[in-house]
This record gives sequence, structure tokens and C-alpha cells, in this order.
Amino acid sequence: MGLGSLALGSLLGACSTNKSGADLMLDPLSPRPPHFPGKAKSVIYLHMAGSPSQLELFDYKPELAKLHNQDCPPSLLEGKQFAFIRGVPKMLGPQAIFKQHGESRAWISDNLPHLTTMADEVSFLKAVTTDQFNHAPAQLFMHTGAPRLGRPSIGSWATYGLGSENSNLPGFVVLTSGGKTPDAGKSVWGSGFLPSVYQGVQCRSEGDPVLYITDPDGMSRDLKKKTIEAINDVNQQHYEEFQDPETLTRINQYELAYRMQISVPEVMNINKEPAYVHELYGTHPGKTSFANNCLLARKLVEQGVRFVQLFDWGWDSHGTDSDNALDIGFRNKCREIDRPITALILDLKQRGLLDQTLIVWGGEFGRTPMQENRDNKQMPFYGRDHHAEAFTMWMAGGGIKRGGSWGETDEIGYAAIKGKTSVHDVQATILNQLGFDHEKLTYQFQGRPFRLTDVSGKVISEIVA
Amino acid sequence: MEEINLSSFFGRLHPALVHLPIGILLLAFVFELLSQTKRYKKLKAAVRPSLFYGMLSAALAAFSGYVLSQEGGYDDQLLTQHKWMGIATAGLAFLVYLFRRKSFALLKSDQRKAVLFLFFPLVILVLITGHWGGSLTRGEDYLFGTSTDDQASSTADKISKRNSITNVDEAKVFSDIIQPLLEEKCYACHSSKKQKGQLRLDQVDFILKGGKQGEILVAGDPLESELFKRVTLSIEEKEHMPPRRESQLTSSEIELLRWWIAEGATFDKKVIELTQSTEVSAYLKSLTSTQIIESWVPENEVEVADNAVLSELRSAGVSVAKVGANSNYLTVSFSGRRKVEPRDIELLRLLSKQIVELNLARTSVSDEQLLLISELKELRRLHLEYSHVTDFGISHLKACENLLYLNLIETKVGDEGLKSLTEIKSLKELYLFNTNITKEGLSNLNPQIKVDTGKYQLPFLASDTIVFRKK
Repeated sequence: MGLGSLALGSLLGACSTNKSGADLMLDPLSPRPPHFPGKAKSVIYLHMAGSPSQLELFDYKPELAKLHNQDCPPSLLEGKQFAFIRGVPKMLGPQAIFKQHGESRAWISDNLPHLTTMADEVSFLKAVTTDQFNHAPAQLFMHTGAPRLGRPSIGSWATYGLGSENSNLPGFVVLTSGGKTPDAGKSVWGSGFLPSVYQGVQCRSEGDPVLYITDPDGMSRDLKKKTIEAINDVNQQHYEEFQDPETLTRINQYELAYRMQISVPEVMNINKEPAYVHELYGTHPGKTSFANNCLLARKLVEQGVRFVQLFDWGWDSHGTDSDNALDIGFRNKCREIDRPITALILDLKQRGLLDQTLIVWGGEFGRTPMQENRDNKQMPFYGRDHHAEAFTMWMAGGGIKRGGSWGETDEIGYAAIKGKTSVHDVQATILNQLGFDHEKLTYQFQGRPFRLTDVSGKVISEIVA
Repeated sequence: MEEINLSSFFGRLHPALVHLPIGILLLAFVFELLSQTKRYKKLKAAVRPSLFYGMLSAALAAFSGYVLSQEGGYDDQLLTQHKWMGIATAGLAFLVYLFRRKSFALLKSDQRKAVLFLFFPLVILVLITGHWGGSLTRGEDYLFGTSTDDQASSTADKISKRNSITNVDEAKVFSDIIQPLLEEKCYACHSSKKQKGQLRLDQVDFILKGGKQGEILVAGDPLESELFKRVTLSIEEKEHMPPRRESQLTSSEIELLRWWIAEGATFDKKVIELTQSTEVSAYLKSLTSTQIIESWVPENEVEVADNAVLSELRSAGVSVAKVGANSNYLTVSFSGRRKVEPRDIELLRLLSKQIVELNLARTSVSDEQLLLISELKELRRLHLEYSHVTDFGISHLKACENLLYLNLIETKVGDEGLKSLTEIKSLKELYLFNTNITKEGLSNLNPQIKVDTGKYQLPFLASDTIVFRKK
């Protein structure tokens, strides 16, 4: 394109963006239509931070069992780089028992006994690939579409596109468990260059759900209301004088914060849930746990929250000690998520919300078919290194095919051989289910429109119902 | 939120702009010729301004055309010709104008000749460029091509082709499987309408004939068949088909195409006559299933909702949004509210043509209000979970003749209410977890309706509590 037309485009384009931009600024979380009617209204994204081994959960490789403890052939190592594997590692057979389940005959291991009953509810993506093999960049890539800092996360894009249905709650809520936040830090739910109202609001499942949400001593709710009203009056005058839309955002934020004081503690309180709900999820109020977060996710989605992002830390099974051994710590992690995730699917189903809630499950990459040999030494426990070339994710509800599966890896699960999908494809699919053309959901920044999927991505129509 | 890209908008003005230089430059030429005669001598004065505006519009047309060409999707060779002809036209128009700037009388006689000499090629250039532009958008045989009756027949074909496949084995591989695929993904540019790359795919002889680069099928060898190569090229490649911005073939469609070519690219065989791999038979099977979830949003269009009503609802804390940017139907949610006021209902009724989804979960909505709400005739999805509605309120809903989805979980609704729901013929999904409905009540329902009464439980397994430790 000629320079002239570029200049023309940005000149005229800038005018149009400012117009719609100003409308957005007035009420940045006002509900807005997607590009086309979406199948899903909300997303619950279950991220297993550290990356679980697909070879012990969903990607059954009997051939790998035969190669157990043999030297890895050089063809798999030449020109490759691994996070920790050095020299020639040994192959590691599957450390789980696999069976096929449901009418879809999906392979699920005995590590997830409850989830096996959901085989016909979910669609597996068995050959997802990424290009990052370290946690932080891979998590950023998975959630922001780029392995470096500065891009908005997928939940931010969703709230930027759809606004919030419930004016008393944030549109994008983040819940963490497992004792640590993801390696990439809060940027994985950041808003990047989008206005900061779209960033994820991290809620805690213990104590105050949002910090400083209760009134401090000596500050009554009425006094707080008056304070906010006074501040907003001043801000309003300021806005009338300078017409800066950012001032309106500020007013809006104060008002939302005040309304959240009432609504957030209520929705985040799982104490009042009946006993059968706690039994279903295996929840114990008052503790930070993945199970509690799953239950909270259901409650938030019920009240119109668009995007609930769960991070569960502790899936980095290197085999350096028992906590991250595939036959010890990893199985404990599986136990922690198995019942809650199954319960979440069932609970959304019985509440008539599964078809309009997209559940996404996955890590940031996969694990190697080789046993880790950090520093070229035998590890004390069974473990696998980071692996970018093939891993499994699954989706359920929200207009996703029931009992579907797409993609295939080679006979040892090293690389994708069919139905290879990229991180951008996964993101394009999530946006598609919400009603967005991922190529059109853009934001003008530094002189060009940016989008979640950068310049690639293709909706994985094979798993869309 | 879509960014309006003004440079591409300018490009799309090209089809309108091109008519200006064609008209104005031809007019300038006519003026010039006429002014040679005595009777129209005065027209001499008009030549210069018309040349000026003709030149200006030619430049604009060329520039906008260049912008448009960046969007791609046109026959490359034809585009290049048209592009350079267009630029040449604008250039030559400028040259003629330069000569003609001075009054004709002041020109030396050989310069006068030069002007006329240049004017002729300019007119020819204008015509050729225009013709190629037409060929680009309407197809190369547009001017001298056959009449449109084959288009009429193709519409009839379309209806027959769309007939769903009931028995895969008996289906014709080409006409029932491959042709509908080509029609959906390729005909826009390769049929009677357009023949980009001189290729038509809408009739067997045309497919066998191939395109500009020759035949496109090598029976039995998909990898050597241009038709298959093009769809499997990386989407980044210029040669990839369909073009980047168009709807792409799905993996299963590509697999079916591969199978058809590998099995000899025949036009008359039935599915059962060809050997199928397990994958292909799975894809074939999926063609018969009618599992496709139809969109619950009505397809016909509706007028835009009254903005004043929308803003009053919004300022009352009710979430109202179009279901999609391409539709005027509305989804309304009270999830930020508890109480439903009489005024809210009045406002909702003003939107009765547009509301297709209403979420009144956890609200104070009363039985009487439900009577008024039942007048929302377009309502497809209704959320009443955790509300105080009773059997009496529910009985009003039978007036909602388009209702597809009804959520009544955690309400006091019982068998009486359920009975009145049997009158809603459109109902497809019903959620009844934690209501007073009994098994007998359920037996009255149409078995077609997907009913979920919930109460799911998970067994307690050893793995729920076992903690694995180092041995």
C-alpha cells in the first residue's frame, strides 16, 4: 500500500476510533454485542500452571511403554533444545493405566477417574503446539498471544469486546490455587495496552475476596458512599472542564468499586452453599483450593461474569523430588482437580448453563516422552521435561462438539502428525465461541491495529458443534 | 469495536470513481473534435477544464484502484494489466493536459498535431482499462459471453444439491459430496459468475478442462492435482485457495477431496463403489448426521430497537445488548438487579419485536409480571432460575410460541406448571433442577424436549482422599 494511503488511513481512521473510543470510555464495561451471536456467553479457563503431562492423562502411547528405559534415538534430539534435558535421555513409558471411555471411546487414564465419565461431554485437542518451552513466556503466549510482556490477556479481550453483563461485578475474574501464582505473574491476566478496566480482577478465596473490600474501622458504609460521591463530584467538574474521557473511566471505577462491596462478598461466599454442592465438588469453605475456585467459577458465571480464569500451580512434573514425580506428586495434583472439574461440568449442566459456558482446560505446553535427565544425571523420580511440540487440551460446553477429538501425535507422543493446532488456533476458537471473528477484534495501538491472535490463528472447526 | 479502515474504504470507492475519468476524458475528446468545426468553435474553452478534471479523476481512480488491489482476491495477471493501464491512462491524461494548458491557438501546428495524436491513444487506453476492469469483476467473457440462463439453471441445481444425504453409501461421490463443497467454497470465483484464472468448477467439462495453467486434476494422484495442491498450500502462500480472506476448506473437506481424487476423480461413482479409509468413512458419516445446532436467533431481520427505550433500561442497571453486531435482536439481562419494577416491564414490552433472550434469574419477577412478559412474542430463551415464580405465573408462558429454552431451576414450580408448558410446541430445552416437579409430571412432557432435572452426584472414590507419598 502506498505511503499516501497509509497516511490517509491512519488520519481518517484515527478520527473514527476516537469517536467509538469516547463512547466506550463513558461506560467501558457496558454490555456490547459480539460480531455475531456467540454460542458461549462466558468462559471458564482452567489453566494447570506448570503444564501437566499429556502422556499420563489423555495421550495414550502403548508404543512408548515398549521403549521404556531405552536410550532416546538421536533423531529426536538433533537440532532440538530442551529446558533441562542434556545428552542422551532414556525414554519413559506412560506412568498410568489407560482405558477408553464413553461412546466417543476417548482415552483417559486412571489418574482422572471421575473425569472419565465426562468423555462424551468434552472435545480433546490432542496435537496443540507452542513455540515456547519455558513457563513464563509459554503462559504469556497462551493467554496474551505473544510470549513477551505487554499484550492484553484473552479475558481482557473478551471483556473489551463484550463488556460486563452484571454492572455490580467485574467482567473478568481471576482465581489462583496451588500456593503460587503463575510464573509469568499478573501479566497473564493483564490488560496490556487495553484500558486497565479490562484487566482481570484477582479474587482470593480466603478472607476478603478482594483486598480492602470491607470497610475499615471507623469508616461506615454511608460515610464511604459520601466520600465517593464527593470525589466523583470533583471528577465530574474536572471532566466538564477538560472533557478527558479518562476522567469518566475513573468515576466509573469508583462506582463499580462501591457496588462490588455489596455484590462481591455475596457471590464469593461459598459457606451458604447447601451440603450436596460441597459434596459434589469436594469443597471445604475457608481454604484456598482448586475445588473452591471451581465452585466460585460456577457462581460467578451464573451472575453474568464473562471470563473466569483459574490458575492451579504445581503441575511441573520434572521428577526432581517426590512432589513433582509422575507417580507421586503429579497423581496428588490429579486427585485435586479430578472431582472438582467433573463437578463443575455436571453442575453447569444441571443449572442449564453448560451450553452457554465454554470450559477450557490445559497447560502452557506438554511434557517430553523422554525421562528428564537434568544436568545429564538420572533423576531420583519419574519426571518429564517441558515439551513444546505436542500436548493435549480440551474444551467443553459453549457450543463445542460433545465427545469430539481432533489431532493426533506420533506413536510415542513426540510430535503432531495430524490435526496440528497452534496456540493462536485455540485462542481464535475461544473468541469464535463468544461470537468474535478473531481477525476483527482489534485495538488501535502504536499506529496499527493489534489483535489477540497476532497475524495467525484459525478457528478449529473440527471441535465446534 | 471494529476499526473502520478508511484506506480500504477509499479503495472500495474505486468502482464508483472509475466512471468519472471514463466520462470526463471521453467528453474532453468529444469537445476537442467538435471544436474543430465552426459551429462548435466555442467549445474550445471547455476542453481545458474538462481535461483537467478528467486527469484529476483519473489519478484518483488509479490511486483508489491501487489501494483496492492490495486487498487481493483478483486474477493476478489481469490485475497487473489493468493496474498498469490505469496508471498509464492517468499519466497520459496528465501529459495531454500539460500540452493543452496553453491555449490551443498559441501552440505551433506540430504541437497541435501532437495533442490530437496523444488524445487518440488516451481514449483507447481509457476503453481498454475500463474493459479489463470489467473483466476483473464480472468475468472475462462478460462482454461477449453467453446469456445468463445457465445461472438460472445453477439455482435449480443448487436446490437439488442441497438435498440432504440420507444414505451415504448410495450417495454420488461427486454430485452429492464434492460438488456441494466446491459450490460453497469455490463457485464465487470459479463458475458462471467469475472465472478467475480462467477456471470454472461448476460443470464437469470445465473441471476437466482446467484453468489458465492447464488441467487441475490428475486422477488417482491428489499431490499432483492442482486442485488439491492449491487448497493444501500454506495459507500464507499467494497461490493458496480459497484466498486468505475467504471461507476456507475444513480439514474434513480437504480429506474428502483428497479421497475423491485418489480414488480416480470420477464423476458418476457412488460412495459404496470406492474404498474408504476409516477417517473418510467417519467424515462421510458426519455428513448425514443432522447434529448441527441451528442458531436460536431468528434469521429474518427486524427493525432497530428504539434507542430511548434502550438507554432508559440501561440507566436502570439492566444489561441490554444486540445478540450480535449483525443482528437487531436483543438479549436482556437483569443480573445486576434484584427487583423488577413495573416500569422495567413497560420498557421490555416496547422491545417485544427485538427481545429474543431475557434473563430474570434471582429477581423479584412476579406471576403478574410474567403475564406481561409472555407478550414478548420473539422470546427464545428465558431464565427464571432462583426466582419466586409459581405454577400460576408459568401458566402464562404458553403464549410464548417461540420459546426454545426455559430455565426454572431452584423455583417452586411443580407439576401443574409443567402441564401448561406442554402447550409450548417450540420448547426444546427445560431445566428443572431443585423444583417441585415429580416423575409423573415429567411423563406428560413431549419426549422431544431435552429435560434436565439435575441432582447429579459423584461417587466417593478412594482417589478422592488418598494422598500418594514417597515409598
